[in-house]
Amino acid sequence: MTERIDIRNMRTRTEAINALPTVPSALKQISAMFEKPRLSIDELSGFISGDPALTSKILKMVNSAAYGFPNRISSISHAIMLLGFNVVRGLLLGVSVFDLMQKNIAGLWEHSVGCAVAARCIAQKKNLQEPEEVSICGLLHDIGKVILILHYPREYETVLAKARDEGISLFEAEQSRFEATHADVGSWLARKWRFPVNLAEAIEYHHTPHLSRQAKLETAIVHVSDILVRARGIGINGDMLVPDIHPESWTLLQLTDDDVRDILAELETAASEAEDL
Amino acid sequence: MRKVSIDQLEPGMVLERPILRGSTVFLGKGVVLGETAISRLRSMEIEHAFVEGSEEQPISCDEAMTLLDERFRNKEDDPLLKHIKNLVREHIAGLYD
Repeated sequence: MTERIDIRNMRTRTEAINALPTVPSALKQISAMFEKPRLSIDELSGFISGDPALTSKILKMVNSAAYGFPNRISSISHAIMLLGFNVVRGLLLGVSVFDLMQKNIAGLWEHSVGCAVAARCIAQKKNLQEPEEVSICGLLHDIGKVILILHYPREYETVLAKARDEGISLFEAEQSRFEATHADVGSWLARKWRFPVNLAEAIEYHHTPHLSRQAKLETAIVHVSDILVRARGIGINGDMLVPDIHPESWTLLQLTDDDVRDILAELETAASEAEDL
Repeated sequence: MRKVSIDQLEPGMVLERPILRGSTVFLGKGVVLGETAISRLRSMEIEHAFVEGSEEQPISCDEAMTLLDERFRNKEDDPLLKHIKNLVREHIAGLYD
């Protein structure tokens, strides 16, 4: 039996993401930019616009069904104006880890986009002010998995194999090997990168939504989106199984059967689009 | 909505999503494709288009239902998940109508 990996060690290592040789330089640059205490709209927009590939990926994303502004957003500054600074920041991070997701966990990107779509759909049904921000919570909720793979490639392979062989969830398999899970790791980075607290909490508690204090609604939305996307079998995020549902989250959201049907229908559209993003 | 590769486009198909060239719309939603439009699309660097109609499913309905059962294995005791599973089952069945 190998030793479990200590939580303090994990946190220090996770937060030192810029020092890790396996992290692509583009992601390091983004990480360094997000750590700055004051990042201006011009800096963010200049950074993205300076890279045509990034710009086109982000515009594709905001103009897809996932964001519900089909073909109306033509520039990064327009996107920031319509969707907000934090949404574009979140999208930048999302598209930057896209390759890492594709390479390391098949289906994780499709799963993430599915969660973004479901989360936006639920947020709209609940009349939340910023459905796009909630959608970013869905898009980035599993970012910790990518970070764990980068930091602990060998160990994480055994975790993935364990989940597969024993038919348990990846979350459970992680708990047997590490003292923290992808949910913790993702939230450490979200805080380090100065994302809003609702995003950090939605990431941290998407498997344990009853523990959220400051973002109960967003966390419940991501928790339920994760379940619906897996129930439909869109993408695979390391394990196939539908996880346990926390009844409190379900009760909090009060989704009707018709709401669920609508979400499933939106997912169908988004799934075929996700491959093109 | 159905996703088709550019090679499989046929005259008469109706675009469900616009086709962009850079950030401008080349062909809008609702456009009925003709021979000329299709040949121009083939000369562009585009792989797929989204047209009206229902998506062709990659697996059979029976296979889809078996996979659904696998994803929900060990969850039969949870009434809430059972309910969600039934909604998903109806939804999947609807895709094959």
